[in-house]
Amino acid sequence: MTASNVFEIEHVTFRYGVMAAVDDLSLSIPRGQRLALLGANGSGKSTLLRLLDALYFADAGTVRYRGEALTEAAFGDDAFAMNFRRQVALVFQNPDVQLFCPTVYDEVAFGPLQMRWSKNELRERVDAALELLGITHLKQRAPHHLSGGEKKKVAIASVLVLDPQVILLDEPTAALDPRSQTQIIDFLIGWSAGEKTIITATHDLHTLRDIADECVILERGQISARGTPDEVLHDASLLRRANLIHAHRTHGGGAMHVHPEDAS
Amino acid sequence: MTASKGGRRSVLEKTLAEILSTVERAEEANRSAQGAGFLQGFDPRVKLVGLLLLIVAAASGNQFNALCALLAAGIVLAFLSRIRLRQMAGAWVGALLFSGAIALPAVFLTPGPALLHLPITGWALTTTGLRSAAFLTLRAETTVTLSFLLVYTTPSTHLLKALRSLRVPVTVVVLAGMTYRYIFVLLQTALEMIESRRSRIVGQMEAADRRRLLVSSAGVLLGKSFQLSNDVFLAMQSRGYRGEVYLLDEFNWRGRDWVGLAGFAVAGALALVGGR
Repeated sequence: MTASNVFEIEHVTFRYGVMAAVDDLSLSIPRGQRLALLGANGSGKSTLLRLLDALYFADAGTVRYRGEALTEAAFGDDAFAMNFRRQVALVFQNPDVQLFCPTVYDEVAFGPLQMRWSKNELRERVDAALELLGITHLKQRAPHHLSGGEKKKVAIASVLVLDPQVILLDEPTAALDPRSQTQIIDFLIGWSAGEKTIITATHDLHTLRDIADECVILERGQISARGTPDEVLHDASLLRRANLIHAHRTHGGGAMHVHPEDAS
Repeated sequence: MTASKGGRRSVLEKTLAEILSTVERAEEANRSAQGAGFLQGFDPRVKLVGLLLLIVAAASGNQFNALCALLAAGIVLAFLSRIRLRQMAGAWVGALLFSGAIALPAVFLTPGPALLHLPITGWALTTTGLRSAAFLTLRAETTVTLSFLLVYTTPSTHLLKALRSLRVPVTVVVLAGMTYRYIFVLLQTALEMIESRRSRIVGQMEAADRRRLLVSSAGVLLGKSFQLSNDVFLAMQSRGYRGEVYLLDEFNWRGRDWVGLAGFAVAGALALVGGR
């Protein structure tokens, strides 16, 4: 364990019933790193994020945050739990899961209310988070009246309001239109400024260079490879093996064509 | 919405139409509540307390004139709040059918002077019975009108928070808010499931198959709602939820709200006294 690591994952296994979603996985994540967890559906990305956010606890092995083991016993201590929740935030893949309050304003205020911040501080922080994501005009709207892109922005604002040190993102651009995807990616590029740790689970290779300095490829709950975005994107056999790219014949029986195009 | 072969709509089509209608009504109520109008300008707590007082007066009143006055007041308030009669008509018809079905036997069963006798059966239609049925129906229509006013002039989110002013526990308010929120998510899921089924069904289904389809769809929806509730709980935990619920409860009480509250109090007191 080095002081500069925010997370240390040591031989962690997590099972749903008999099926291991994360299988004897070890990984260190330095502070300020932008890490992408790549893998096909069912490779264990979302489960790993939930382990890092201490929503699930490992069946075997240890997950440490800044040297502290994340265990159910540790979360029995209110001070530890609140400090961790303040510092580590997770944006779920499905924003409908995360937007459970009646209005956008209530949603963004949910975290600060749990932290028992004063009303003045709460108002200032909530207004600032809404402003940061450019969604102040939506604050009195109900979540079911929002578009997919707007919901995602509200979900991000609802965790950024706590000013976390680590943000975990589960497929942040999934099912978004291209404009919303660009807005979310632009925001993430501008937000971290090298200070924050951003861990993104994705299988979208188009955005990889923008959101990550380091990539980890997961297959069946284990790390099969790691490297920089350029190294990963140039290893077509690795990407094909991990079901991250596919080749198909173009319309009309033409030449074979690889998706995404920037993988070679 | 297209009718199926023979002009009769299938269970799927009827369910789909009901879901769409529910969503549309909620959207319509939301638009009306956020629009301009007399009641929309008051604090939600004023409307909740004031209209509840009038509803209690209507439910307990025994004087025909007092009930008529309350119904008239409700219609005037609806007009001032820019609610169209067309919007209220559906609620009125529903209340009429429901209360009418309950009141109908009273017309014949309540003892009293006979107004006329039905041919063949010879059942006596009594004036006392007619009066009871009219009261019941008028009460139902009045309370429905006043409830409709509350829903169509107050956003649901504000209405739920206003319940705190009646000392409703915060947990109940939060649960009600989450339920209202996720009804729409599950309605959307149900809509997509039904549309997907419809796109793969050719011709008419047998009644037994329709029932099986309905039951299996309900089962799948239940499973999805269970999964959703688990994920929502994790999302709450992730943002610091530790079993205690806290609610942001901020309304802006202004001078006109005192006037509104006083107006409702006077109207409610008059209706209660006059309705005895």
